[in-house]
Amino acid sequence: MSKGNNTLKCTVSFSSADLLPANLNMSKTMTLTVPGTAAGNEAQIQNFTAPQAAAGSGIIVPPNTVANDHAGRVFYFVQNTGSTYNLLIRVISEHSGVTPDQMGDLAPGEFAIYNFDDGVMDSDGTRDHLRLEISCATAAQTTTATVFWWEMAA
Amino acid sequence: MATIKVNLSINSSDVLPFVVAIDESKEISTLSDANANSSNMGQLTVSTTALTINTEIDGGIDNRALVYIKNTGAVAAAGVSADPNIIVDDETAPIMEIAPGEFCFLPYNGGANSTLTVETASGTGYCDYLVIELT
Repeated sequence: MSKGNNTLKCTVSFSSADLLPANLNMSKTMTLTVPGTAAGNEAQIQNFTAPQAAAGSGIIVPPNTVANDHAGRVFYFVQNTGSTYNLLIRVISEHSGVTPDQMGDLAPGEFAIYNFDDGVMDSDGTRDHLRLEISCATAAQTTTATVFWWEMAA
Repeated sequence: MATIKVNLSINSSDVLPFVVAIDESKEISTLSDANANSSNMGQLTVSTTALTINTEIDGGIDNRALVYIKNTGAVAAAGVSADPNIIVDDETAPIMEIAPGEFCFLPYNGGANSTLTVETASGTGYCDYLVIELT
């Protein structure tokens, strides 16, 4: 039995007076129906302390178990809530044994919205597992992060 | 050097057991050097052939870049099929998939002189994009 659909609204706004020849003022909103199907019924928000780590050994979100991996499409909001060091973001599209793909790094205070799909991103072409890895970009240091993800079904 | 202010809000009353209300702002500056030399903004008609979205950034994205991509294709409605999803690729693999009406926003850093492309799995899609080289 599945639960009913949920709704989530996300708005991003940009403004700059000197980036382009004309003023930049742009605001875009997406209103998402988060489906209540079996693959689209989970969402979590968590705070982490992210250690410096080699690829594949940072904090894995969700935890490193097949049952908790994402099947299908998922959105991630990630913010570096630390004040000094960058936060590395990598994507792992298999449960184990695959080199993570680096998405980027967030400076302190920066945030991002990622749209992932394990069907597209899976390295062997089958729709199975997807996780995010976060770690501190500076050796022997840590930073903190907020991670909010919600699944959008297969 | 240029400065851009970004605001992101996320609101939902039923995705979690409590009301989600996230509202974050960040002012980001580009460096005054050759590595932060361009920004690129536009609209594309997308096919199964990958199109580069950082074409005006000399030599690719040197280090970090702010990236925004929105799938402006039609959302499915009664009697109308949705336009295809937009697949975003870096130089090694697909990294994101954006359905019609959705967008992504991220500080991208895939390594030196990297390139981002967009494509569809089949059919014709549409997207808006903004790439700002930061460092």
